[in-house]
Amino acid sequence: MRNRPIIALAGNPNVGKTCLFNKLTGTHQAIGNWPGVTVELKHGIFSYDSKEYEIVDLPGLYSLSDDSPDAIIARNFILKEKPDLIINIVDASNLERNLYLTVQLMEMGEPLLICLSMIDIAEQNGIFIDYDHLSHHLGIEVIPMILNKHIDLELLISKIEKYLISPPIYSVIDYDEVVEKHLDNIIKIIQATEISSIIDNSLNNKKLEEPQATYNRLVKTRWVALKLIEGDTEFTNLLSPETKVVVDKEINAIIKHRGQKAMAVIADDRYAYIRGLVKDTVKRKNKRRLTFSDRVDKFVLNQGIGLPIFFVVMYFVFLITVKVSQPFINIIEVSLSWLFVEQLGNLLTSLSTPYWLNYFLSGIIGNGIVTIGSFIPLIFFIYVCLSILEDSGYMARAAFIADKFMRFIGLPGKAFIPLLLGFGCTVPAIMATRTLENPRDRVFASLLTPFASCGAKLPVYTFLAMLFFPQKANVVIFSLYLFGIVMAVVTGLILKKTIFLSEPGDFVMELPSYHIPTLNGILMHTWHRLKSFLLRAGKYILLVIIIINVLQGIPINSAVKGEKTTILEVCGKTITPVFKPMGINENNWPASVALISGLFAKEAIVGSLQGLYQGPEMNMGRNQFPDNMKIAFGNTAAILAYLVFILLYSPCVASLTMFYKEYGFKWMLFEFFYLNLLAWMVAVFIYQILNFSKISLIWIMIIVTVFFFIYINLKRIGEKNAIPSSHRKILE
Amino acid sequence: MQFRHRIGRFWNKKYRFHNRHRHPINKGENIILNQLPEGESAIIVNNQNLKTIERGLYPGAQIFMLRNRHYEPNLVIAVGDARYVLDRRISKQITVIIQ
Repeated sequence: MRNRPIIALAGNPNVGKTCLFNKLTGTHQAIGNWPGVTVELKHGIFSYDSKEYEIVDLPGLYSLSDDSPDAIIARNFILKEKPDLIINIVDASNLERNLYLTVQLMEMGEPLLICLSMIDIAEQNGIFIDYDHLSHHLGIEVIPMILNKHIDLELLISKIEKYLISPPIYSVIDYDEVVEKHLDNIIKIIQATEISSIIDNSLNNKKLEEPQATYNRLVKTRWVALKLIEGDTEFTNLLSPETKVVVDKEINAIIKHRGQKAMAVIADDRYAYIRGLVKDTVKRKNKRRLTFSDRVDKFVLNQGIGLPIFFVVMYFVFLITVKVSQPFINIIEVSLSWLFVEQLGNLLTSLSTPYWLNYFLSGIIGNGIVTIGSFIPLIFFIYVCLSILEDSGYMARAAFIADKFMRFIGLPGKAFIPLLLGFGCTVPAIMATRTLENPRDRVFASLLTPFASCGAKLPVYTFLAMLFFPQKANVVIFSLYLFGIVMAVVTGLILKKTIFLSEPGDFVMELPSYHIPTLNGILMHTWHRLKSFLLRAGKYILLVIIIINVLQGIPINSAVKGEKTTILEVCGKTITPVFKPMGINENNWPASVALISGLFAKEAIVGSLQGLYQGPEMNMGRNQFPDNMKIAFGNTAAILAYLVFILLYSPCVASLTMFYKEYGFKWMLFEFFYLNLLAWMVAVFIYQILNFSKISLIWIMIIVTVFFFIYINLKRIGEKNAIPSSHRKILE
Repeated sequence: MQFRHRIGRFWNKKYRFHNRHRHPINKGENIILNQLPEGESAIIVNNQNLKTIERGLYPGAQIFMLRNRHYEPNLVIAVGDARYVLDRRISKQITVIIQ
C-alpha cells in the first residue's frame, strides 16, 4: 500500500461521484444534473485523523467497454494506475443498471467498496433495499448514503481502512454452463501463453501474501479471458496469430450455442446475475407508474410545444441577463469609479505623486478595474441562468428537442449539450464533446462551439450595443446570439456536405429526473465560474490596457515630416486596410487593434476600445471615448459589421489551445482560418448591403467567388478523407 | 394510454397500431422496438446492440414506451427506473414481445 493511498471514485454518469469528491476534498468541482459533467480525471487530497488519501474523480461510465474518450480515460486509470481502492457509487434508485459496472469491476478483481447514493429518491419511488443482504451476496461492504446531505465520514473511513489492509474477496459471477466450459478453455490457453506473464507483472506491483496473490492471479486471468470473448482489441492484439485462431474457435462455439454476438452473451449473463440479486434484495412498495418527470416530459419533449418552450427559456435567459443586470452595472460602475478613479486620483494628488504615476494608477488601472467590475452582473446572471438549466435536468431535454434540427446540420442531438455550454465558455464546451462516442461528431461539434457566443463576448456586445443602440440594446444582443446560431447552421450544412460526408453517430442518452435546483448549488456553481472569469478577464484586460497605453505612449517619427505618431498607431494602420471593406476606415485603426487583443481574450476588446478611444489627453474622471468611437465608426452599418465580425471570428487563445489538445494542430489551424475568413466575408457582406454603392457589387462578387472556392476545396478534401461513422461500424 | 386505445377498450376491442400504416398489433407478437406504440409495455427478446444492453436493455428486461412519433428521429423509453432517448436506428436492432 502507498503512503498516500489512491482512492478512485467510479460509477455511472450522474450518480453523485463529484458530489462525494467535493465533500471529501473540500473542493468545489462543477456538478450538474446531466450525464457528462466530468470529462477528465480530477485529483484531490482528503485528510482525516492525520492521514492523507489521494481521491481521484473518474468520468462517469456505464461499462468498462464504453468507447467514448471520457470512459476510456476512466478505464485506463483503473487498469494502468491501479488505485488502492475503488469506491463504486451506485444509484439506489436505478440499481440494476448501476450494478452492471459493479459486476465488471468485481470481475476485474480490483479492491472495491460500494456507496449506495440517492437512497432518499429510491425510497420516494417505493424502492427499499436490504443493504446487508446485498452486501452479503456481493461479498463487498455496501454503505447507504444521501450524498447531497450529511455523510457519515467515520463509517466511510473505517470501511476504507479495512479494505486497504485486507481487500475483499468477491463472489464469482457464473455464466451459462457452455460459456463457462469455453471460458475455462480460454483461461487454460492464456495460462500457457505470453499474456500470463503480463498478468503476473501487473500483479507484482502489489506485494501480497500468497493466498491473496493466487486468488488475484486467477481473477485477473478470468477477466482477461472474458475480455477476449468480448472482443476487446487491447487484449486481442496481445495474442499471437496461432493463439488467436484457437481462442476464436472457442468464441465461435459460444456464438453458435447462444445465437448471439459473444459480447452480448456476456452482457446478458451479467444481467441475469444482477436480476437475481435485485429480486432477492430489493422490495418495491408500489407498482411502477409514470413519475413526475415523465408527466412533465409529455409537454417538454413535444415537438409542437417543446420548441417554443425552449426558445422562450433562452429568450428569458438573455432578457434576465441584460435587463436585471443593468441597475447593478450602474451601481458598480459609479461606486468603483468613485473609489478607484476619483478618490485614488485625489489621494495621489494630495501625496504630490508625479503626474505619470497618478495617470497610470487612477487613470489606467482604476478605469480598468471599473471596466472589469461592470461585467460582473452580466456574467453573474448568465451563469445563474445556465446553472439553473443544468441543475434542473433541462439540458438533456433540450438535446432531445434539438435532435431533429441537429441531424439537419449533420450532428446527433447529444452534441447540443456542448453547443449550449458554449454560451458559458468555449473551453469546457470543447471538453464536453468527449461525451460523444463518434470521432466525426466530436470534431464537428467542436468546430461549431465558437458560434455560441461565450460569456466573454456578452460584455463586448453589451458595451457596443448600449453605446450605439441604447434603446434597443437587448434586441441587438439577442439578435447577435440568434445570428450566431444561424451561422452555426450554415457552417454545419457546409461541413456536412463537404468534409463530414458520413452519417452522424447513433444516439443513446439518459434523461435524468427533474430536480429543483438548490440555491446553495446554483450560487456555488456560479461563484466558481465567476471567480475563474474574474481572474482570467482581470488579468487579460488589465494587461491589455497597460500594453496598449504603453505602446500608445511611445512616440516615433511619422512619414509626414514634422509629425509624431505611436507604435500602436503604425501597427493598427498597417492592418486596418484588411477591414476597410467592412467599414473600418484608416482613422478607425483602434477598432482593428481591439480585434487583435480579442484573440487573447474576448473581454479584452472592451478594455482596448476604452483605452484607445479615450486618447492620451484624457481628463481625469471624464469619459471621452463614447463620442470618439461614434465619430470613428461613422455609421450604423460599420458598427453592425464590426459586431458580427466579433461574433464570428477566431475564438480566444485558450479555446484554440484546447482545440489543439483535443484534435491536433491541423484542425486547430482549420478552425482559426475558417472562422476568420467567414467572419470577414459575412461582415463585408453586411456592410456592403447596408451601405450599398457601386463598389459594393464588386465586393459581393469577390465574396461569392471566395465562398465557392472554399466550398469546392472543402468538398474535394472531404471526398479524399471521409471519416467513418459509428453507424457504418455497426453495419460492418 | 392513448385516446384511441381507450375507445378500443370501450368497444371491448383492442385497436393498437404499431406503425403509421395502422397495422394492428397483438399481445405476444414479436416486433421491432420502434414499432411499439406509446403507452405500451414489452419485454426485450433480442438485442444486437451492446451499448444498449449495457444500459439495461438486455433480453428479458421490461420496457415501457414513453414516446414514439414516426416523424421524430428518437424514441423515449423507460427501462426500470431509467429513461432513455434512443436513436431509431438502434431501436431497429432490438426485438420485443408485446405484453
